[in-house]
Amino acid sequence: MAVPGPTLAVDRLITSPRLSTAIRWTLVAVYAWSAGGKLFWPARFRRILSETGMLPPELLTPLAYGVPAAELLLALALAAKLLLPLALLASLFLSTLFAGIHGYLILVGELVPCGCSGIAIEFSSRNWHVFLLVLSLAMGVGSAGLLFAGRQPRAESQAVPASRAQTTPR
Amino acid sequence: MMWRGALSAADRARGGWGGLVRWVLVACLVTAGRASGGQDERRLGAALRERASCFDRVRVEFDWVEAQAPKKADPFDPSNWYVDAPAPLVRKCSIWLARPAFRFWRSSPVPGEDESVQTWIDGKRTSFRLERDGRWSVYIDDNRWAIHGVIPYLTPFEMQVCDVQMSLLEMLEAGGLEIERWTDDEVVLAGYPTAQPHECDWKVRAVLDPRAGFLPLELRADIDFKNRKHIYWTVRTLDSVPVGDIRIMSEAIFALDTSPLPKRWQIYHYRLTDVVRDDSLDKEKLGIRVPRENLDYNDTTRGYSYSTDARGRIIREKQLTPEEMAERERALAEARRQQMLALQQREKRRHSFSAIVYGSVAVVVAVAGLWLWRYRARR
Repeated sequence: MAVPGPTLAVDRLITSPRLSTAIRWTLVAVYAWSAGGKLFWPARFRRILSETGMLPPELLTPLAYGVPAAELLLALALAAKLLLPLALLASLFLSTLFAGIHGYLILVGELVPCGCSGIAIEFSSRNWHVFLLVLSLAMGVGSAGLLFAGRQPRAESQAVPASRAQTTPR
Repeated sequence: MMWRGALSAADRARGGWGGLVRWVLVACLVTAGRASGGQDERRLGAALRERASCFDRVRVEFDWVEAQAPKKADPFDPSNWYVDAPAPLVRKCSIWLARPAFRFWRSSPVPGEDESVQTWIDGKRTSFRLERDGRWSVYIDDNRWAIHGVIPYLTPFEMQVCDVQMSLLEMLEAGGLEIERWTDDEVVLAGYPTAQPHECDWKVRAVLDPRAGFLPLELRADIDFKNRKHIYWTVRTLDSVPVGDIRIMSEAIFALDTSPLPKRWQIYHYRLTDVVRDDSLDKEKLGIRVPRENLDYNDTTRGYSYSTDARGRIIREKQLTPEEMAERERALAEARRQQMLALQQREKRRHSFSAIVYGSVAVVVAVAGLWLWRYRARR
């Protein structure tokens, strides 16, 4: 017997399949765009990572390859709906991480190119970091929202709406 | 296998305590493993300290050949070196060691460049040379790096690695290096030491031969300059000779891939020509006897300078006032403070990065937990 679970506001926000699809494809586009430049110029991305001064040297090379590869895999998984809950959790992790980094860089006033939106964009300003912070937060919220929206209880999703049930001829 | 028994016993424990005990045991084993690693490092530290004491009170003479090789060629094969233009530069060098003091003499094969004698005694560098106008020049400061500059003359004597003013022992004791592997044939050390004089990230790897008193067989340094290219530096020992209970490098090749010469390897070929043990050597004997005539003397550590003529009479003399000295000291202290601050800031940022990563993991775990709870509740 299905037990009614707690209802969150996010359920009501993302119940529209169109909205879910739009969020998912936006995530796909952002991750694919972000991965693109970095994958082609990992050495440049490594230098950008090094300039943030936040990463220990042993992580620079693995991250220079690992981050864009992870972003590309995420984009593919989200596009193809492969292992969707895991992909959404990974997306939530990356988004939170990026938001944290941008928040920190804004806080300490260190405005360095981050390569987040592809290394083609190398300029940096406070507004740019604020934009990326907001984008990362939005992506995190979107990922979490999709995660919860994607697991509607079967009883609910298969239930026939009462209005339609009344009009169905016997 | 006692630990297996312990884990099985933990498994048999009732309720959730078994899992907890199991994790505690795993944590204990990991801690024990790390502690034994620390023991190896202490053992190696003691061995390297003993090695350094053997590698003391000696006079060594060596040739230092500077050459270049095409980037695509093997820099450790001398047949690949340029032997015509530019011709290899061969410098004759001598070092007298009474650690930590030393005296360094270097000939110059370059026309117009003079021989130089430099000493490092009690934290002061003294440079002594005959200038082209026939006058003697003495310059005293506290910058050891100026003795060798970017050329790693002191590496074969294990007083530095690459052009950094730290030995492997100092890096190990500062926690910048860890033992990667220890077998009968070799000990491999690797790590990311915080090193001067460059404020950049260093990656150092060393292969030592425990059968030869921990002789370095190969040293590698990868220097990541901010906004600049990398420097890849490797020294490989080709031959060694016994000195006391240990063996020291007698022939080694240094290969340097650096940004000023992007299409060529910069090669240094070190060849020991003589080594003499002299137990009477001490820092007093390493000092330079300064002539009185035709001398330009500048002691920056005391703020005192003077010049003499051909008869030894002082023709110019200047002593910085206490205010000027204090100003100079302040400037130096400020420069050092800024350097330390930069290093501290970098460490702080790295800690912040770790905190951000842990925070992100916590967010994901919380969201995943909530999602699983809701999913189960609704099923």
